[in-house]
Amino acid sequence: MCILCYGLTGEEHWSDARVGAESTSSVRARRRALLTTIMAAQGLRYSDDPTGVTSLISDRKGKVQVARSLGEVWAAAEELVKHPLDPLESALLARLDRGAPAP
Amino acid sequence: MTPATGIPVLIVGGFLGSGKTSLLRHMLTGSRDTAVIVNEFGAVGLDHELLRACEERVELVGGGCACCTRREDLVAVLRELLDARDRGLQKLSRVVIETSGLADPAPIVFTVTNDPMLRHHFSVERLVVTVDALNCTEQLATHPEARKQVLVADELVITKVDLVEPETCQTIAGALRALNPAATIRTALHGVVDTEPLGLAGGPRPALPSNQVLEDDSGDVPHTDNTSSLTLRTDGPVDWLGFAVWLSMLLHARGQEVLRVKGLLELDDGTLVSVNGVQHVVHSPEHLDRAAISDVSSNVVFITRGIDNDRLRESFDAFQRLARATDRLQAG
Repeated sequence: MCILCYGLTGEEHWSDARVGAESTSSVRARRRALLTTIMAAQGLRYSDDPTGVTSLISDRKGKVQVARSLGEVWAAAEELVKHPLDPLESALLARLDRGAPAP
Repeated sequence: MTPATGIPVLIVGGFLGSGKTSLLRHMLTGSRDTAVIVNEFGAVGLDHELLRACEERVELVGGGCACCTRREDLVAVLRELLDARDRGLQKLSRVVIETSGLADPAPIVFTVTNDPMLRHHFSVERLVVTVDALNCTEQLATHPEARKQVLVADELVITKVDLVEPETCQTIAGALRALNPAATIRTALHGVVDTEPLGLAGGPRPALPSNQVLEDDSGDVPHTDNTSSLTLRTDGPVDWLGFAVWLSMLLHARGQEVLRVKGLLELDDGTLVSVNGVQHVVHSPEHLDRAAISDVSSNVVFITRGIDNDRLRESFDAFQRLARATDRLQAG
């Protein structure tokens, strides 16, 4: 738990390791943008806190799920859309290629 | 698997009677401060000061996925070893775990890399699997446990090579290569492992033109039970974030069908990183030294069950395109 904000720290995810020369803030910004697009393809909104630890995924009705690592993002989104998210699904890939308009 | 930190843990698996103990006996000769964890004392016959036995005791976590199974027995023994070290009762520089002949190694990797305490003290060094030259053809054809062990290995050691003709050994190596293109293959005689990896008959595999998908079925044993392997190669550097987000989503959705992921990626800034995962468990990527690698092009092997290789490639490409497009939008 974070002693400042009392937030539960997330499980360390393998993708959190620093890779390459890119700064952490740049990685976070790019990850935010990428996940925003992928969640938009499911009709969902994505946001995260400035540290990039806690992610919020919400649907159009205002329901919100919290994810504390990239690994938790997918399960959180599935809770909202009520179906599995599969990156091998043709329809999802097509939507991503079109710039991810919501279904 | 080359650990960045922590006490290295070497996992030695292999089907019943495939020569694990002979391998261990030789490996442990003269080794100091190495703890050995075996399933039972009696059958092993190892005389080692840091020998520990544990009886397989599992706890399913992660919704019952077979690979996300915590080996409670291992957790207890590894914590006991750490405790003894911290109290100054023994030194501990390495741990070797010998699995039972029917064990699935994936839960062992999961246990070491995911236990909230152990993960900070231990790192999986590599997973070595012994393969009996005399009996492996039948074992691989009839025992899914034997196939699973081969599929998830980092290193395959063909044992009892003196009992078969050299051509048979080459055929076995080809079959193993077809099953697990990511593994290094060596031979062993009476527990002594050849330091040189085994070359395949006909010389090394020819270099592939970039961006070509290799469906690795070069061996004589056809992939049965719907298992196949795919080597993803790319035309140029890979966007790390696009890859990480894609792989994370893929493993969430299809982790039980992605048996193995292993390879290296060349990133936009020229960095080389290793990727190594067994089902849902992925190790932290590690930076690699360019000077030590002959072929630095991105090259990741996927061993999957029931996943169409073309679809996997399409999905990888789509996420790479998306990551690039997102970057361009951000930059603009």
